[in-house]
Amino acid sequence: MQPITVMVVETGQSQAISIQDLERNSNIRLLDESKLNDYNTDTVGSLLQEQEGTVDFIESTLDKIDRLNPKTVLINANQTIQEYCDLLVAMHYQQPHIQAILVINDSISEDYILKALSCGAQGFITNKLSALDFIKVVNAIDQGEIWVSRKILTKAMDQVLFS
Amino acid sequence: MIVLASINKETLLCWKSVLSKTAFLSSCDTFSALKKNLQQLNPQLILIDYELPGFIGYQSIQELLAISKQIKIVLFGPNLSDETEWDFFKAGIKGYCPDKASAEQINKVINAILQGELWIRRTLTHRILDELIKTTHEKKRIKQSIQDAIASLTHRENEIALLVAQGESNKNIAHQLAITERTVKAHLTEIFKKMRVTDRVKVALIIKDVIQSR
Repeated sequence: MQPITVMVVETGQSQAISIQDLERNSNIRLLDESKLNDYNTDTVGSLLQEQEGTVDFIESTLDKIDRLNPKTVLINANQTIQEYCDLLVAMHYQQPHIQAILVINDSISEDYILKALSCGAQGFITNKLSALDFIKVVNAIDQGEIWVSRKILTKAMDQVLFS
Repeated sequence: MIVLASINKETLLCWKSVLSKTAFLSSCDTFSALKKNLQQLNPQLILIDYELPGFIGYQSIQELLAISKQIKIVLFGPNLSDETEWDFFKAGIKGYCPDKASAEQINKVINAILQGELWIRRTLTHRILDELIKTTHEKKRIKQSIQDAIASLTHRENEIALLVAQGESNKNIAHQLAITERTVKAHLTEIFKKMRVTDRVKVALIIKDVIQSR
């Protein structure tokens, strides 16, 4: 069975994704350029700190995706909505086969989730999710499912039918 | 009020046992009777057996929704292909349940749907996302083409379009802008052409929409 390769897009340390546990599952492989040498989870890059502005952030993320060719991109969405929506749209058009999962906090609004879905996000998890559940989500999305609540699915369907 | 629509007595018995605590239940055994029930009883939920006499698929679902937009429909039937099941959701059902589902499962489905949720197989969920992205893209494209059309209006055409949106007649517009009605009509013809519409009502709606979204 092919492993699910995951790339992390991290934009700050305030909502760090617990990724150490990921690799304990043989089905998931974490990709990071720093890992090519001596991987240390503390060094997961802060792309925004290296880049200036959204365009650079999107371009550098797309470049990184080109280099690492992941199946799934895990986006730590603790920045502004528009940045992630722009990235998701760019990913959807340039790399449509890649699955995007957003790591959100509990206070995120349903409208934001719907907007991110309409831009191409395939799932949402909170940073409090256990490693076991996280693996379940990554696998489900890899099988072509969307990971959102039934409530959000219903709203998405309403948008499809009544917009 | 919940309406149960099936010709199969066992199916009806199973549904009734699941819904035994629901005070208001009604049942029928043909599609035409179901339509009458929908008109007369105004139920919040209907359970339909795929084998219901007179039920012909998506068209029947749309007929029911034409009678009551608010009605929640759960369809019970055989294992359908993903494509067919998804088409039923696009027609407007809120849930699809295999006809061999257990009472416990049926109960879950009904409760979820009564709470306003959708009961759809997880393997079909990506189709919602695909449609959502397509719809959003189409909306953006339309918005952009409207913005382009408005941007292509001359200053005078823009003034006239705004006055049309305010409900002004050609005569009033001519008076306000100190031009003849004939000139207003000529400008309107050009506005219709640029905005790809055929009448002033559409111009008014588009302009109002643009103003509101700013």
